[in-house]
Amino acid sequence: MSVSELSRRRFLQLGLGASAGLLIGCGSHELDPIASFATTREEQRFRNAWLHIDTDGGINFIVPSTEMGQGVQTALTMLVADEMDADWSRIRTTFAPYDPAFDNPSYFIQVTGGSNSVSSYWVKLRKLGAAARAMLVEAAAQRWNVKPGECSVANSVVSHPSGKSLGFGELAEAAAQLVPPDDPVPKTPDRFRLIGRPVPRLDTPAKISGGAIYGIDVNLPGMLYATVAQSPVFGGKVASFDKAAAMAMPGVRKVVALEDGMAVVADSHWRALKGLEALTITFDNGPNANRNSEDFTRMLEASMQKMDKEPFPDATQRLDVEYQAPFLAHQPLEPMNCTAHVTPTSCRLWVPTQNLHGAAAAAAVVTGLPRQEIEVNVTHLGGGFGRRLESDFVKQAVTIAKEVEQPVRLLWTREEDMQHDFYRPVTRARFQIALGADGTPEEWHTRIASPSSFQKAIAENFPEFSWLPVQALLGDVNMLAGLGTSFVQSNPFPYAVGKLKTEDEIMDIPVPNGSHRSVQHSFSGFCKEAAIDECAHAADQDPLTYRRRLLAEEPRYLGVMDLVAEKADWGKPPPGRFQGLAVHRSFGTYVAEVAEISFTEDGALRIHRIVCAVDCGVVVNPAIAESQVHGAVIWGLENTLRCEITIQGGRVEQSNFHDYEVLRLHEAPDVEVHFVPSAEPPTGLGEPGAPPVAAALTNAIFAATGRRIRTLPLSRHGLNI
Amino acid sequence: MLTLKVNGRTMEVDVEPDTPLLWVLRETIGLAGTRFGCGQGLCGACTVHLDGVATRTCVLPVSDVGTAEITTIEGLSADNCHPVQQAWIELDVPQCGYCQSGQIMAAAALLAENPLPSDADIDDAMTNICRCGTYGRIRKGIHRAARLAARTQ
Ligand code: FES
Ligand code: FES
Repeated sequence: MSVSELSRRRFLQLGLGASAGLLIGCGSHELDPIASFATTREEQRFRNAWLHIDTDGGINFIVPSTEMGQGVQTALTMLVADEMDADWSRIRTTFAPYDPAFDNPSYFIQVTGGSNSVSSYWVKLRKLGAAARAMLVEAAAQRWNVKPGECSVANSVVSHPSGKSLGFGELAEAAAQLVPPDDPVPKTPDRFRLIGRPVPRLDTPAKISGGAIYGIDVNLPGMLYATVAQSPVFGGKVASFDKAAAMAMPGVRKVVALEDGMAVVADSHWRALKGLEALTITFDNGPNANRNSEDFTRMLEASMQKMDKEPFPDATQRLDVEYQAPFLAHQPLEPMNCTAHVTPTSCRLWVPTQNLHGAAAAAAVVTGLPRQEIEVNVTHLGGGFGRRLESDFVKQAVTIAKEVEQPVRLLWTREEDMQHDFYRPVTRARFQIALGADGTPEEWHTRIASPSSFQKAIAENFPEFSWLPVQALLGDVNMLAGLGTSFVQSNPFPYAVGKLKTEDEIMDIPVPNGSHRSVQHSFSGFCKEAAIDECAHAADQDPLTYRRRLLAEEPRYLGVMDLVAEKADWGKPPPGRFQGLAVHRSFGTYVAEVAEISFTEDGALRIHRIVCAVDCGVVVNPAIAESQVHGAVIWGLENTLRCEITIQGGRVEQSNFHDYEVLRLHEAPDVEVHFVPSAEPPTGLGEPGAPPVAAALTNAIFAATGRRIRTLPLSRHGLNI
Repeated sequence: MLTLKVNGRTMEVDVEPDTPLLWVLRETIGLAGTRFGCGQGLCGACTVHLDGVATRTCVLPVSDVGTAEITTIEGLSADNCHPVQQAWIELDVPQCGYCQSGQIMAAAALLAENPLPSDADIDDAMTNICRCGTYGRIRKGIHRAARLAARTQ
């Protein structure tokens, strides 16, 4: 297929093929000039087509990030629409297909993660909207023979004090003939009309009618259905299989051998499942069949022994404490799935993914086609949380689709999903802390040990660079997040301690791991904030006062702590209740949380409320922002209370929601979210609510009982809600 | 051939009798708004009404449906006008939205039986999983829907 044909097809995919009007876009990188395209130069314009203003006034915006519930479809559209002074009711959105034009400006590949959609598009999308507005105003001014500066815009209508007015639709074609401004100037905050307001989400109507299309809902003519069984033991392989019984089942079309499992293809999902049940598979469990969680803990404990045996002999007070948190699964509610149609010369995918680049890279490896020729269409995601940064299921779907002529939709069972996740890695840290006479830490030594997924992520997303020993050169970029000072840490250890020393060790543990909502911050937020609470108590000081002193030079940390203290009535809990505080910065955002708890007479833990104070710079949409922090707190709570993935015989013991017990409605406490007013550029929101929860809760438990919990989950300590 | 009554229409389906109703709705009949989350009756993503009662369809063989009237999310209202959907719009309840068909069907069944549920009633009735943590808004949404429904009566 020629390049122009391909462009044209992708262009049609965006629903723009038949339309006239102004089409405007910008390259994927911040510094690329804004460029617009007249409607006649059709083949060229796809590359930069982000925004289209039709002659009837309809506006279509191509959303470059994937929507997994975090609200980017609405928030990013608000950035453009506000700058345009557009009529919000005339805006439609389309999810960007795979194309380098839509690379994430911070990652240089097309991926949604790290809570950075709003922050990395903050300038670029406002410039895009400002450019469109300037061109439409210019077109009106030329038509009326007036100065552009005399015109104003509201609700997609350009007006002149003389009483003349024209709608965007009427101006679109004339605007398309103009040269876009070199450096469009975005609004100053006082002129925002949408940004800062709780604009209703664009995706709500379709999500309450059942009409939103997720990956599992993709339905193509003649489509077949596939499901898989993978080696339950990590690193295992299929030793042999007998497909006769499976092939005899009604509707079964094909049995396909995969790298570490088997797939059955049938004419319905249920028939594929029944076919898989009838398939006899013998697995060769490989080298990990005797590994288990206890082994891993012993390895981590041994790593901790590499610290000083007798640190700080002269210190007034010493703390030497170890923290550990287990493997955790993501389990977005929509199980892994991908629909693929492969021919010798083409590969088309429909997939709920955070990582279109990774999906295309995986499909390119399997098909041998150039990556640029892989078509990736993204659907709504039934949750992501980092699980959908991985492309394992895409690779499987493409492998299966190569074996059949029709399009095929691969859908995993929940059991496969639970046992073949990329888990938040088990991690252990040890702190050796010397407190001075006034109680402040004079020395703070940290050692942390955990498996890493960094090298794997590089190899899979950039197969051409898989030979580079990135991890050996850089270490793991995530492990010391919030704890260290290395140049790869965007979030340094914040407390003003005398001398900070860190060590880390990447452990060789044969369990896949990956990015799990807030990544290693979920652990560092816990162990750092619990350890500082231990220091405050050792120094016999109030945990808030103690932190304030060590963060005196950090106004934004102080801001969230003071706000949370005020809103939670810090230090004055109702009778019988106890409070715990934690503060952590991740993805650029500062979050302080106070947990308010009590214990019932029979010893059950009651969580009355979690109060959060957040400084994420400008809050683009306060209602969505609240939902993100609130959801992240619920996420953090279940992981503190009882969620845990354990390994026996090299395989995951849990299999579904009966033994991986996520939080349910009746257990969800009140969560209050307050924002610090700010004019700083926006920072992350999808993840930063999660890291402080565990320590806020365990610090409250210490306040109530004098018991210091250093290993999660709480259910292991007989603490249950 | 089995006869089903779905959203007010009678239809014949030709599937194995052990096929769960969920897959018949999604793949045979083409009503994809009812979703699959666990396949074991644990999450509620697949909730529909059977004669008005919230029912998890991933573990319900189609042959057990009998003459019950099935209502799916698509049949709850023509244009999102059911009080639960209206409340969900007001509060922007969904995040990823994947659980919400099931949540809405569970909430609608609860309100049909108990027009003014207390928090404790909501705790008891709303056992569906939401991985995005929308529980706070679901609770508020049910209280709001109860008021909206009372107003329209
Ligand atoms: S899919 Fe039916 S209860 Fe989970
Ligand atoms: S909104 Fe995502 S699972 Fe409920």
